[in-house]
Parts: sequence; C-alpha cells; structure tokens
Amino acid sequence: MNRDPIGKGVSRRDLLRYLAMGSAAVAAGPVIAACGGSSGGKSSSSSVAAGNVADITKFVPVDTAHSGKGMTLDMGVVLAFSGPGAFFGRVMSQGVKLASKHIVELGGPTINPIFKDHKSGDPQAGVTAVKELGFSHVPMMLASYVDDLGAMLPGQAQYKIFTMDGGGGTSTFGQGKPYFWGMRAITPNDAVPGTVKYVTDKLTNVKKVQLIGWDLGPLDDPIVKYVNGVVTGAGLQIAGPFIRTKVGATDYSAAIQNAKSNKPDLILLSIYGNDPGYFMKQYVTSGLSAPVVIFEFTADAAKVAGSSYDGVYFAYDYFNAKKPDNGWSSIFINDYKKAYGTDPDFYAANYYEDTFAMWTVIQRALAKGANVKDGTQLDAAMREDLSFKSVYGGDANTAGELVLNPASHSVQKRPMSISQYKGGNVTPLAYFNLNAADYRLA
Amino acid sequence: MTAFTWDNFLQLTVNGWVHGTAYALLGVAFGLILGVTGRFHFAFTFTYAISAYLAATASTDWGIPFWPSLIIGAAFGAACGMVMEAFVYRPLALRAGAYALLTIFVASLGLAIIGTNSIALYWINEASLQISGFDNRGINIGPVTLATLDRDFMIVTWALIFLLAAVLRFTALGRVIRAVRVNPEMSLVIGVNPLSIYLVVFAIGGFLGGVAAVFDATKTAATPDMGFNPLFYAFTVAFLSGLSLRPLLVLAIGLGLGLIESWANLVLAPQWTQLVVFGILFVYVALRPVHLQALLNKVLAPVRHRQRAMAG
Amino acid sequence: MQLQINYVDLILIYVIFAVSLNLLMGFTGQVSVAHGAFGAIGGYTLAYVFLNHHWQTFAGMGLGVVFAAIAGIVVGIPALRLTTEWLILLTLAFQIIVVSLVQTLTQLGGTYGLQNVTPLNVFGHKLLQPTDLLPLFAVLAAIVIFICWRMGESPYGRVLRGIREDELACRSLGKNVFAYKLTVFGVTCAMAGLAGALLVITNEIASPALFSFDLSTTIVAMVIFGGMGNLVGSILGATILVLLGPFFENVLSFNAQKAALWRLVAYGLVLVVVMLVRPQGILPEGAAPIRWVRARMAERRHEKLSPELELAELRGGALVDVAPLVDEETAPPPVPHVGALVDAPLHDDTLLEDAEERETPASTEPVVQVYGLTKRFGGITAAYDLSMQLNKGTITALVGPNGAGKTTVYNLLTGAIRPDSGKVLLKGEDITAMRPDQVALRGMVRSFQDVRVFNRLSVLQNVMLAVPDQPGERVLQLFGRWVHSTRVERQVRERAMQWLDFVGMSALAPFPAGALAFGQQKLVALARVLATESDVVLLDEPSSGIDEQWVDVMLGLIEKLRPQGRTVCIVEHNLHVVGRLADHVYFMELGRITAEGSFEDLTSEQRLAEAYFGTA
Repeated sequence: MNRDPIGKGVSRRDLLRYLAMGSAAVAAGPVIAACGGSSGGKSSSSSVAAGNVADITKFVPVDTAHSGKGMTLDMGVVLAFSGPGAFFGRVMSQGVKLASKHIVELGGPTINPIFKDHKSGDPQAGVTAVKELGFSHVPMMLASYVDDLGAMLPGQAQYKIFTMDGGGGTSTFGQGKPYFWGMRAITPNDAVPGTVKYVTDKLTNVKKVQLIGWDLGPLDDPIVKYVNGVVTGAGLQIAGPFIRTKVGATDYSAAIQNAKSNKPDLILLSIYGNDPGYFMKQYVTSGLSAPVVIFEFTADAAKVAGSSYDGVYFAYDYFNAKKPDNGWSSIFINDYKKAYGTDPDFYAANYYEDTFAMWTVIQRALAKGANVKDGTQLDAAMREDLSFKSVYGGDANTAGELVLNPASHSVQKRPMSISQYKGGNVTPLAYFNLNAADYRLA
Repeated sequence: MTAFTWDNFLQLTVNGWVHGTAYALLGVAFGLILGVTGRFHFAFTFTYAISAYLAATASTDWGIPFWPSLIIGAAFGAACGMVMEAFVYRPLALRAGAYALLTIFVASLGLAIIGTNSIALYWINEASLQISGFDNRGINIGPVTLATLDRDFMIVTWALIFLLAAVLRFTALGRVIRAVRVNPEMSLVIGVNPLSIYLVVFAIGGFLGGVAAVFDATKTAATPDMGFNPLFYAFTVAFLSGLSLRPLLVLAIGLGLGLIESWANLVLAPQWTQLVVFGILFVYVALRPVHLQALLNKVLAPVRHRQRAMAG
Repeated sequence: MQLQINYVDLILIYVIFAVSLNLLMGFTGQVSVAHGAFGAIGGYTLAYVFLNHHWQTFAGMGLGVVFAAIAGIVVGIPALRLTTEWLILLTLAFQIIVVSLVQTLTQLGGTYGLQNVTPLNVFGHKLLQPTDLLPLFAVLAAIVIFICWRMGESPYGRVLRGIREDELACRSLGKNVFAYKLTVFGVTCAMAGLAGALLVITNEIASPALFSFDLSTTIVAMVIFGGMGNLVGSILGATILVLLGPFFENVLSFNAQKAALWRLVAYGLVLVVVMLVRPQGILPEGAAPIRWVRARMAERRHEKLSPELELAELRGGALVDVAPLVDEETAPPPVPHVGALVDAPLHDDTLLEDAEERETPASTEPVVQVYGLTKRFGGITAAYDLSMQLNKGTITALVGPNGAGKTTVYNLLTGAIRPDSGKVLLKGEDITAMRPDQVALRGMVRSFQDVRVFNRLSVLQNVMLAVPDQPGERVLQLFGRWVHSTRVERQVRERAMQWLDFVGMSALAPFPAGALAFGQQKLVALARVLATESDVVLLDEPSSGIDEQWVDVMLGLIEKLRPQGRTVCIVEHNLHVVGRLADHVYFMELGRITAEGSFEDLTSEQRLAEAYFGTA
C-alpha cells in the first residue's frame, strides 16, 4: 500500500522527508563548468589509520594567529527535529556537536550551536526560526532541506545570516541566493557523468540505459534532459522514456513492468529516502536483472531492502566510514564512534565538515580584521576563497577538497564515488568529481 | 504515465486489488469504531503505528516468528485503543453532551500527537524498524508479478472481513453490536451495556488496523508517522460505505477505490492520481444521487412556479 | 521585542482563522476541515498576481479574498444538504484537492511553492519587521472580529444558531436556510482567504506545506479548545495554542535532540487534559466575562437580571446538557396571560412599519385549499387524491389511525416534501412547489410532533426567532441600519415575551429550551408558532405526551386562536380534544380521506365508531 499516496496533498510528511533530505534536487539547465585544479588527489586503496584530534591540523590548516581562540560565537542550526526527517536531523546535529568539540580542542572559538526545529519542512517553523536567529543577531547558520524548501531564504537575506546547507544543497531554486550556499552534490546530475564513465569503462555490456525517478512534474524535465544528454554523449542509448514513480510509493511493480518492456541493460534510479529500499525489494523478484545505480545510500534504506540491496551500485557523495578517504576522515570516524557508538553516515560527515568550513570562514574574516558577528562580512570572507577542506576525497596525507561556484552557490568540485553494496559492506569502485573530472578507479 | 499495454493494465489491476484490500481493511476497522461508538478516533494513527512497532520488536529483537508477531502487534494496538476508550473517550463523552463528536476529535488528535512522538522518543536511535520473519518472493503469473506477502495479506484480510461479516450477522455478539449502534439507550433497556460493547468494538477495530499496519511495515518499514495516510483512506472508505456495519460493502468500496487509483496511472502521471481520486470523491459527496433529485427540484421549483403563475 | 511582536502577528492571523471558523462551525453548525485550504486560495492568489502580474499587494489580497469567498460558496452549495459526517468528508476532500492542485501545477510553483513574495509595500514604506506588520494585522483582525461578532451576536446570529439546532424547524419558521448557509460560507471562507494571504506575507512564500491538513485541524482544535459559539473563546484558543510552541521551547529545552519531540508530547497532553477537564472549551457559548461582571454589578444593586444575564449566568461554565429544570408532574400548569394579546390585533402597528387590517373572521371562507394531493414513497402510497379545505377562523381536525399519513399531509402542505401530483392553494396562491420557508412567509406554519425546540437557545430566543419582519436577520440591514435593527430587536423581545406570557412560559424565558420538560417545550413551541403571526397554523398532536392538566391549558390556548382570525388545523388522537375543538373533521385511512364532517357526524357513523373510536 502506498505510504504516501495522497501524500502531497494530505501528508506532506513523507514527501518532504524524502524530497529534501539530500536530493531529488534539480540542477540548472546549463552544466556548471568545472574549473581546473586537482581535488581528488592520489589513490588510496586501503583504510587510513586514525590519528588524534590534534592531528587534524595536518589536514586542515589553522591560522593560529587568527584562530578565534577564546571567542564564543553563536551559530544557528535549523534541522528537522520532529516529523519524518527527525532521525537524520539528529544525526546531522551530532556531526555539528562533534565538530564544535574538535574546533575548541584545535584552538578555535567555541561555536555555540543554537538548534531549532523546522519540523521536517514546515515553512512557518523555518521562518520563525530564522527570525528568532535574526532578532538575536546570530550571523551564521547551518540549514537542511534546501533551506527548509527555500522558506528561510528571505529571512537570511533580511537579517544577513550567512548560511550553509549540507543536507539538501541548493537544488534549483536555491541557487545564487544571497547568503545561502549549498555544500554538497546535487543528485543525480552531479554524479551522472562519473557514473556513466564508470559504466562505459567497466560495465561494457551495457548499451541501453533506463532512467526511473520521482515524479516532480516539470521539475523532472531538466534532469531527464541532462541525463539523456550525458548518456547519449557517451555513446549509449536511452532504453525508453522516463519512468515516473510517486514520492513515497511502496509499490513499484508497474514501474518495473514498464522498465522490463524497454529491455534496459542498466537502470538509473533517482529516488531517495526509503523508496530505493522498497523498490529493490520488488525488483529482485521481478525477473529483470539489469544492474541498478542509486544516487543515495542510507543505512535505513539498506535495512529496508535487506539482501535485495546486494549488488546494487551507489553513486553520489557517499561517505564511506569503513574505507575513509583521507586521514581527517579517519580521525572523524574514530571520534564519532567513541562519542555516539555508531559509524557516521554522510549527513553526519557533511555537517561536521560544514562546521569546520564555518570556522575556516571565521578565520579568514579575522585575518582581514572583519567583524565575525556580521553575516555580510562572513559572506564576503567566504567569497575570497571558495575552496574548503573536506572529509571526502584526498588521501592518507591530504584532506579532500570542496569548491563552490560563486554564481550558483553550489559545488563545482565535490568528491564522489560509485560503490557497490554486498552483505552489509559498501565497496568503492571508482572516484570522480563533477562532470566526471578526476576520474580514477579505486 | 504508464503506457497502455495489456501487461501494464493487468499489473495495475493486480496492484489496485492489493491496495484496495488494504483500504477495505482500514475502512472496516475505522468504520466499525466510528459507526458504532461515534468516536472520531484520530488516534488510530497511533494504534496503527504501535502495532507495527510491537510486531517489529517481537520479530526482530525477540526472535518470534512472523505470524505470532503479527498477532502480538495487532493485539497490542487493540489494547491501546481500548485504553483510550476507557480513560479518555468515555469520560469525555459523558461530559461533553451535544459537542461530543468534536471534543473527542480534538482529544483524539492530542492522543495521536502524544503517541506518535512518544514512539519517536522511545525508538530515538532508529529511523525505522523492520519486521523480520517473512520471506517475500515474487510469483510470476503470466505477465503479472504478485508478491507472496501481498498474496498472504489478501488471504488474511479477506478472511478477516468475511469473518467479521459473519459475526455481525449470525452471532449474538454481532446482534448486540448492531443494536448498540442503532440505539444505545434502548440497549440499556434490554440489559446490554453499550459502553462495554464500545470496548469490544475498539478491540476489534484496533486489531484489524494493527493487522494492516504489520503487513504495511513488513512490506516497507515501521515509522512513527506511518499511520497518517492510512487514516485518510480508512476514513474515506468508511464514509463512502455510509458507516453501515456491512464489511462486505466496505470491501467492495475499498477495492473500487484501489482499482480506480491504480488505473488512473494509465492516463495520468503519478502525482495527479490522488487529485483525481479526491476529485471524484468530492463530486460524489456533493452530488450523491439521493440528493440530486432534490437539488433539481429546488433549482427548478421557482421556474415551474413562475410558469404556473404566468399561465394561471 | 521583535520576537514577541512576531508571535503577536502570528496570533492575529490565527485569530482570523479561528474566529471565522467559529462563526461557521460553532454558530451555524457547519463543521469544516478545509479552512486551511481556503487560506491557500487567498494566499496563492496574492502570491501569483504579485509575482507574475506585479499587482500591488493590497489588490492581490483583495482578489484572494474574493476567490476564497467564491470557493466558499462553491463548497457551500453541496454542503446545504449534508449531515455533519458527510460535510466533514466533503471538506476533507476539498482540502486535499486544493493542496494537491497547488502542489502539482507548475504555475503555482509545485512542491516548492511560489517564492520571493517580497515584503509588503505600504505607501513606499517597506514592512520588514514584525512591528511593521502589527498595525496592519491588528486592523484586519479587528475588522474580522467585528464582522463575526455582529453576525453572530445578533438576530442574524440567532437564526444561525437555529439552523445549527434544527434546520427543518428553522425553515418552517420562514427562514431561508440555504441563503444563510451560503452567506456564512462565503463570508467565513473569505476571511480564511484573508488569513492565508497574511500568512504568505509574513513568510514571504506560498507553499503547499503552509496550508496543509495540519493547519486545518489546528484551527478546528483552536475553535473547540476556546469554546464553540464563543468568539472571545476563539481568540483565547488561538492565542494559547500559538503560544504553547514558544512556551514549551523555553520550558523544555534540555536536550536539543529530544526536546522537539517532548514539546510535541506536551502539546498533545495539553489538548487531551483541557478537553477532559473542560469539554465545553475555555469560554462556552454565551459566557462572556463582561456579562459576568454586569451580573455581579446588577446583583450588588439588587436589580433583577435581564433574561440575557440570567442565561449567561446559567451558561457560564454550564455543560451543554442541563438536567430538566422543572419536574412536570409536580409543577403546576402555567397561567396564561392572554389579556394583552387577545385584544391586540395581529400585525401590531408599533411593531411593523406596514400595518395590515384584519377582517372579521368568516367561517366559510377557505384559506387553504387542497386538490388531489398524491405522494408515493417507493411502493407505499402515503397520500392519495387528497382534497380538503381549511376555512378562516375555524379549527379543523385531521384524525385517523397511526400510519394514515396525517403528518405527511402537513409535510405536503408546507413544502417539506413535494407531492407527485395535486395542488395546494394558500389564500388563492398556488404554493405547491414552494419551500417550507416560502410557505411560512406566506402565512402557513406548522408545529412538530417531536416538538423540535432549539435546545441550546433560551426559551425566549426560541420565540424571538419566530417573530416576523426582523431587519436584523438580513445581513445588509444588520450592518447598514444598525440603530434601526437594534431598536426593532427590543420590540421583538417584548413581542416574544408577550407570546410566552400567552402560553404561560414567561418565567422560563432565560432557560435553555432543551432543559425544559416535554410539556413545557410543547407550550414554547406553540408560542413559537404563534409568534410568526401567520394566518394558518397547523398543529401536530398538540396534546400528546403531556398530562391532563397541561392538555386543558393547551386546549384553552388553541380555542383562543379563533377570535384572532387564525385558521387552525390539528392532527389528533385524543377524542376529547377533537370533540372540544374541532369545527370540522377529516378522517384519514391509509393515505386517503375517507370521511369528513362534524365530530358528531363521524362518531355516529357505525363503522368508524366501532373500528377506530371504540363503541360510543
């Protein structure tokens, strides 16, 4: 039975949970040109040994003269703490808290997170949260759900609150907005070129590709156009027209039936949340055996899917806690496990590194003599250097890198990977960046 | 939208049949409660979810096999419903008089909020729970695929609905339930305490809802707010059947709803289907045939009157 | 400061939602779970014309209000004939349809909604801060409260409450229930549209999530929490429920991860506990702090409480179902004060602006003529080829065994059901196809076998509803001729008291009619029917269900109607009654009139005497 059949009209819960918790985002029409410069770094094939928290400075340089030591700075953190997305909101907040702890240990300021609840996408709650932060003159914040589905944008502009969103990124409507920056890959688009490259590289018997994705009405068109372009540009064929599924649907037999008749060799599945879990449960009994690429991996969906996730590919900015990309990642994973008893997932990682990114911006601002309690000045400090250290990418000795685009305010460099799941383990197969840049096999 | 091929049509029909069965079960459960007791049991969303959570705990943590876990979960949901009736709805109904329906609705809303968030709090370290012990496979029947879980779900649900219909029609308990529904005061006269019947009804309705929830969660997952969408279907199907105590009628209506919703995929993109379903519902309620004639009369009456006046 | 004002702004928006829904739900009895959807219509209209056509904000708001009003009427039309449960389903479907629509239509921004609805510009001054918005919101809220108050606490509101209590009874007193319902739907949904527009202005975004089913249920909760039928209650309800959020945020802020969930649990707990402790809401209908104050002041001055204050005293905190006040058996029958009315002609000059002369009653002049009335329900013939006549100034009786179709005749005569064939003439006019309220306005009213008093209205209000020609019952007059309608209201109250005097129930004037004993209710219903001052009065079993003493009183009253020039018809089983009152008797069996004549004629007929009257 459909979990969200009347969903959009009646219960926005599931819709918003799936929608903005990362993905289903739509990139703008024209491709964002990749700048030059390396990001990924050398290959790393085995897990990196974890060091101490103090060792983080080897990866993330600290401007000791302007580290902000001794200062206490408020940072708003507006996440989902109730409603369908609450679990992930908590995970994100754990990343923030751990980062704050590390930052103090590394000689930085005390970043005081002010947690607020946007109730999994309630515009009213988000607007109120931003206003409250604005009245209290809080100059910076972390957001999720694409800035609460854009509801917080006006408040950030009005009260000049410098904002990063590592959960939903910018999507389409959040691009180029004042004070707002998306800190992660837009899926599926950002990951598709790298995926296709891997497919032509390693899955050579794939000729026909089928795209299945959420029905978001006309918002689908740019995705479909882009994906088709990349696929055909690589010499592959489109197996059949775009197959739409309902957000939160639990019954995919019709979609799978449809796909079967197109006889695809590969399926690109742009659905998120627990939906891919439901999909795969039905897929494995359908008689269709084409490999499937999913653009998000959550432990929850894996739980739902159980063994039907075996052999599935995942392509996006996946955070591999078992095979950390770089030395900083290892330290982070270690300490996170100590603090919370589980491995961190990509949400925890994103919000961890985004808090560090905030610190970086603060340091730059202090170095310039700017007022770090002024969101405009923070934003200006951000623009001077749109590159940030990341727990994604890099190698045993170098942190990875995340680079933003000044026009779109979204990432133009973001280490991603395509991995495969088997029996509880995710094995990276290849790493790449936007537009398949810096592609290398694992 | 899904292209029209016979294969797609057949698959959609099967899907619609499965969904329709679920809607029917929900409609029977909710309709029984609302029809007999008059309580707008919004907290059904909670008893639904807690049934799934108990079944998940039983099957995954305690290693109890699937079918006993199902019963445990559904029974727990039934018990929760009974507790709400005994400690909240009943005292409220006695005090609220003419406004009972709405007052209980608000209290039930409050219970639903308390319940779903308590589930989230208690299982704070899990985004969702899984129900183990059912090995779901797909059966291919020609061009159509049916999951074994769906097949068993339909068998169980149909059996339960027929069983309930038989109980209501042929047993003393059923007669008593029907009597209480029609005239609670009169029932007192013949020695039946309507309030204890209400508890029985909450037990049955809660159990049936729990069964639906456990199958739902087995197919997908147990989440704290999994009960909200089912509530709307429950409510819709119950009302469309006129809150009559006729489980077989509810079954037919639920199936109809499921099929229409599924077939709509042939002509509409997925995001339009619910709009169409509720559009049809709106039109149906607005123009229910009984009233269509009356409306016509009223609309035409002044015309007829004027004609007569001019003629005579 | 801004933080607090922000909440005030929010409260004002919800006050508009709650107060308007209360007028619809609490006063008129139309339960709607679609109030949020009407807000969506208002809000989205504003956002759309603002973004795409660069309309000025106020114009956009105005258009939104108009569209919401139209939508309200569109929903109101099918709602006219629906019972509560079906109405809930209808409004639920509407709520879902509206939100689905705005979510799927690209032009309306789809899931993400319409963004960049920039701050309101008033005479070049941008309204950025909550304090900027406050005056505007406060003024709009005040206007809405004023309109709802005037509509609710007025003769118009009395009709609304009558509709809520018993639509059929209301219609048979001459009220066009459809017009009232549609008006209220239109007005209250327009107000919801206004609130929706304000919501969009505050949030600078119009999104589906802003107007979800959650919003609609929250507004319903505010109305019930605050007290149905009490506008001040809705203001309180909205205020409290909005403030619970920040309240719990301050009180429960221990663990950020869990706090949000605990706050929701606390919120739910408040709803449950308050409902259990005070199911009638914080301020039940009729309870008004100011009246309580006035009552105390009057007491201190040893003044007699006016009926309103008495009722308020009773109501404040009283539960909606009050135990019967007077025990019928021990209470003495009422003493009718007929003096004032018997002498006063109908259509008193002091009451109305157009007086009408009464002619002396002529006992053979037909007032009601019925020809060949036939009605079938499926296989049952309820009435067949019925022809009868009611003459002016006479009392006609309609007798016969149970199931003969006597009440059906009343239904056919007054338009409650439509005959398959036949004709009914009232004072020469063909009224066969008319609605009950139209028939009542033309001078024929009926009482009901099951009495049908308006339970939660006071006895006095029951009768006041029946008094004809009240300008306050029409919206335009209510607002346009305020002083006049207030003055007429006073006269209406006096008139109604006179009728209560006539039937001897004036001492019970302030009590809710539902609290009276059955016999008392019958007398009140008689007063109500008489207060319409209609020429033709159809009484359905006036003496049934009450004991002998009261029957005599009732009969005495009915007899007094002849000299007033009224035409009376009674349906009766009690032979004593028929014998005493009837000038002419019609005998019905199985839908047909099988005999007519004087009482003596019929009782002397062998067959009838044996079969139905018992041997003489």
